[in-house]
Amino acid sequence: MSKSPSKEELLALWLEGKISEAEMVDHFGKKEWEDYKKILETTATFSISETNSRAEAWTRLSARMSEEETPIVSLNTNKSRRIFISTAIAAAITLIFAVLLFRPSSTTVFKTGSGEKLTFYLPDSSSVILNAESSVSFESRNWENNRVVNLSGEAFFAVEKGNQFSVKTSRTIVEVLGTQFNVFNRESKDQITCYHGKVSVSSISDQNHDQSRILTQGMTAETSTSGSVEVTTSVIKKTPEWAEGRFSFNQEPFENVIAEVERQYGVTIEYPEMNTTYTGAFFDNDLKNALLLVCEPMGLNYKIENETLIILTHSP
Amino acid sequence: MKPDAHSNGSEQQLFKQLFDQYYEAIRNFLFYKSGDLTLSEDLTQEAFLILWKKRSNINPDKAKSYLYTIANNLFLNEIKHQKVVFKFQQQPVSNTFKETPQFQMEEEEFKDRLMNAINDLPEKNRVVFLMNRIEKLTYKEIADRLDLSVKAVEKRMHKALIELRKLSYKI
Repeated sequence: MSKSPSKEELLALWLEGKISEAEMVDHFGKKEWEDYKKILETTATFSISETNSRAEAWTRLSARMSEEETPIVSLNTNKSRRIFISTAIAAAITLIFAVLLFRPSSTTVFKTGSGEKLTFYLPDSSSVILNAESSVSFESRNWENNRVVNLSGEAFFAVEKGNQFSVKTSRTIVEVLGTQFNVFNRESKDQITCYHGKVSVSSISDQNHDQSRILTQGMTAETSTSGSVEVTTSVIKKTPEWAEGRFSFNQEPFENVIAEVERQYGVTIEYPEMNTTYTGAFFDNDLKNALLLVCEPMGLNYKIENETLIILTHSP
Repeated sequence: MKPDAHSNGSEQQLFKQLFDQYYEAIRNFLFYKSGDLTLSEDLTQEAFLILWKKRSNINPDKAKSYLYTIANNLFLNEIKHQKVVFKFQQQPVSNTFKETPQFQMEEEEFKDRLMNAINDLPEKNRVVFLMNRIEKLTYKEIADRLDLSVKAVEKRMHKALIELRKLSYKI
């Protein structure tokens, strides 16, 4: 019955909200109109359950975009080779000029010693809390378009929204758009924890980011030298505990705990070889208390030899 | 060197704006076609990457409808795609106090029937219908994006609605 063109046009107009209910009921009768209405109301309750956010999609895309930027020069024929060579010479000359022009370098470095913590802001007012014995460097020139930070040690980042933001360590690349996360890069391992938003983590050896993993709030990842990324979930607070002076460990190899005490208090600790793990916490404001908290559960005694040397021995 | 680097920066900013504006739209467009969210997300990546590569040949005003064209072509190239099976997320309806268990069950049944009916719509009608109903795009906007006339959009809309009524009420 609804085959007459005028009715179809009416339907289309009504779907765009250009016809009143009363008119519709007049033309179609109450029953048919209510059928249509119910279809629309029910359709309105449907939505798409996205798995990846737009921010994640952009992170992925912009990585691929920058790969596209690298020109590929074919060397198949003599002619193209000649062009390549002259282009190369031109490029080299330009490069020399560029290097001369851009000097002195705009690299900014922040560094902390043992027992120090430092909070500072990047040019776009993203904030960084740097833990002891750590350093961060970045190019402040053209920062907005090139937000790359090199990190050695440990730092917590609260990133302002904007272009892609990357943190590089000796082992790992962390990529984000705007979020809060902690990067731990020490001799023992690289560990990344996401406190807010989402970050993408890949091993430095995984050049195509094939094995990258996305972390959301409360997830922690460790990168391995083989290029894989292992993800675990942890319960976390707003900022890492270390930023508030608390260092807690869950089944951490004992030497890593000692290394953290050394960094926080600027001391050297001699201790018997121990093949066990430590679960517990210490604070950065009282050395004796910290030593007690670390030694007691392990059945160790401590002796402060001088300002910089501490010796641990098994309790009698 | 320097001006070049700058224009590249603003070019990327422009592209980012376009991405922010149309990422969901393109992904949803592909989802309405395929019913496969992962495929839609992947193809959306490809579509934007193609647009980025070809940016020097494209008039910015045309970029929007060009994106839809690329997305459509990518979808057509995806030969192994199977029949559409839609799984929408369902938002709870808020008129709770009058809901008897009987009423709830009937509602659920109707939702399932409607989803199947959407499944069975001809692709062209389904895409236009969902662009209008879920993304709230006007006929004019849909016509612009898909390079159609407004008349053609109207036609697909009422065809979809009539078909949905037939399928979901078994008329």
